[in-house]
Parts: sequence; structure tokens; C-alpha cells
Amino acid sequence: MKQDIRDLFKDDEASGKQLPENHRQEFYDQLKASRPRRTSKLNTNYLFKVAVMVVLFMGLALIVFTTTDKVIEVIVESPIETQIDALEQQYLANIDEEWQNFISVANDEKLVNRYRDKLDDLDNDYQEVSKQFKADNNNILVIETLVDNLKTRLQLLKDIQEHINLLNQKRTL
Amino acid sequence: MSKTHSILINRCKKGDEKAMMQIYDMYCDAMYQISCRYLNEEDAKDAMQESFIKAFNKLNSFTEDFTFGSWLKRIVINHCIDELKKKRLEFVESEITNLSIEDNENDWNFDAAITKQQVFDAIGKLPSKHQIVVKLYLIEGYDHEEISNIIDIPIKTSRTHLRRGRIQLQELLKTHYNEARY
Repeated sequence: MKQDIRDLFKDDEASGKQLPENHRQEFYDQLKASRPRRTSKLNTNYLFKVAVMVVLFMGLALIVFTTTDKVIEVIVESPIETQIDALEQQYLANIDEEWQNFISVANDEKLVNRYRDKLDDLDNDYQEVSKQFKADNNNILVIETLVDNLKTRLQLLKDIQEHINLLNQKRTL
Repeated sequence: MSKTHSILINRCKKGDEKAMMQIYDMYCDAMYQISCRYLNEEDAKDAMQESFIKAFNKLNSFTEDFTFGSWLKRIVINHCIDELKKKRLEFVESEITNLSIEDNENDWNFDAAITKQQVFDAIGKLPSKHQIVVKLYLIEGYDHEEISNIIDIPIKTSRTHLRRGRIQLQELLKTHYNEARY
């Protein structure tokens, strides 16, 4: 009787060799030791992510706090008051500009003094009305008076300048 | 390959150490049996464990053209051969002559009474250069092309070694069988 001994090895059966008991732990240690670069890379990645999240969170918190502060300011200051303030600043700037123009154009000292007095009167009036406005800032009449006062001052300066220009043109003709 | 197994391999590729330990648990015994055929028990365990580390490091080169087991086995075998080479074992024969051309290459018919263990023992008695080729061919099931790749010898040399190994094996087992009888 003959047999092909290659057939004997066709099924891979255990030869009964046993691994030592601690082989698993030993391998785990080797595995750990073989991958230090990888784990440290993961750790720095992780730390980096955490740092980014903290920075983002702080930035967001800052934005939220500053914007809520602004909202609170807006609420405290009534919208009409801020609008009047802005209007007043704009008018005063224009009036000042026109006044400077007028001084440079006018060469009559009497005229300049007269207009200065007029404007000072108007300004005094304005201060009076302003006080009323602060006491009762929902009164539409007070607000209209304030705006009219500013308008008058500006118009006054514009008119006199126009008049001077006309006079100058006539003189040159 | 099963789906869960593929998932496990993918987790290993991402560096998941738990998955690696699971793979180790699945294959360590089989791989240890293989390395024990080439090295003593202590060296075989080291070679097996180092092969796993090597396998995990180059897991990206693993494709599902092979089964994971055969891919891993090849790494273990290569590692064992490298260890043997360090011990300055020679695989290349100085004078290769085709003495027995009439010899039938595929005649592995031995007496039916011979057991697997007897074959193992007889293989252990072969000269190392023949022994390695016989093991790779007979036990691991590699062909000559694969053997020539693994131990880096020409295919012709692999054939010669195998033939000589087989003839010596027949002699050894004949004696063994006869001894057993008397």
C-alpha cells in the first residue's frame, strides 16, 4: 500500500506546540513599543483639536458678550434721543462749516458781529429747548422746535453767504 | 473573507491596538505552529510576534487578493528564513548536477503505514538546505516559484533540493519502517 505523503499535510492541524502563558502581554508590550510615533502623533493631534476648540469657544463668548453689551446700551438710550443726537451733530458740523465760510467771505466786521449775536441767541434758545427735551423726550413739539432751531441757523448762514456772493459778482461786473 | 474580519483589518490599518490584539489572538497559535517548524520554540515565538508587528506596520500593502492568513503566513515564513540565514545556513548547493533525470518529480508515494509524525521526524534529519525546501513544498504547500522567491534561489536549485530531499526522505523512512518492523 502506498500513499502520497503530500496529502498528509493538506489539512493544517496543530502540532500541539503551546505558546508560553505570558505571550499575550509580551506581544502587547512589543506592539506598544513599536508604535510610539503613532500614538504621540495622535495625542498632539488631539491636544491641538482641544486647543482650537477652546480658542474658538472663547472667541465666540467674547463676541456674544460684546454684542449683548451693545444691545443693552441701545435699550437704555431711547431711539429718538440717539436720532436727535445724530441729527444735532450733523447740523452743528454744517453750521460750523458755513460759519467759517461766512467769516472768510465777509469783510464787514459789523455784519459778522450781528450774525454772531443772532446765532448766539439761537444757540441759547436751543439750550433751553434741549433741557425740556431731556425732561420729556417724547414730546414731538419740543423735537420740532429743536430741529427748526438748527435749520434756521443753517439757513441764516446760507442766505447771507448767497447775498454776499451776489454782491461780489455785481461788484466785479 | 468575512465582513467582520475586513472591518477588523481596517481598524488595524487605522492603528487601533485593540483590533490588532484581536487579530493576534485569532492567528497567533496557527502562526506559532508554522514558525516552530523552522526555529526552536523560543526563537519561534519571537519570530511569530515580530512577524505580527511587521505585518501591522505594512498592513497598507495587504490587498484582499490573498486571504489574510496566507499573507500573514508568508511574512512569518520569510521572517523565519531570515532568522535561519542569520545563523549562516546555506541554501545554495555548490555543485548542482542533474544526476537522476529519469526520476519522476511528482512521485511522493510512500508506504501507507507511515504517519505524519514519522515524516516530520525524517524531515528534521535532512541537511538544512534540502530540509527548508521540503518543508516549504510539502508542509506549507508553496510551489517552486514561490520557494525561489522566499529563499532567494533559482527555481532550478529549488527543484534539485526538493528532489534530493525527497530521495533522502524515502531512504530515511524505509529504514524507519524496517526498524519498526523488526
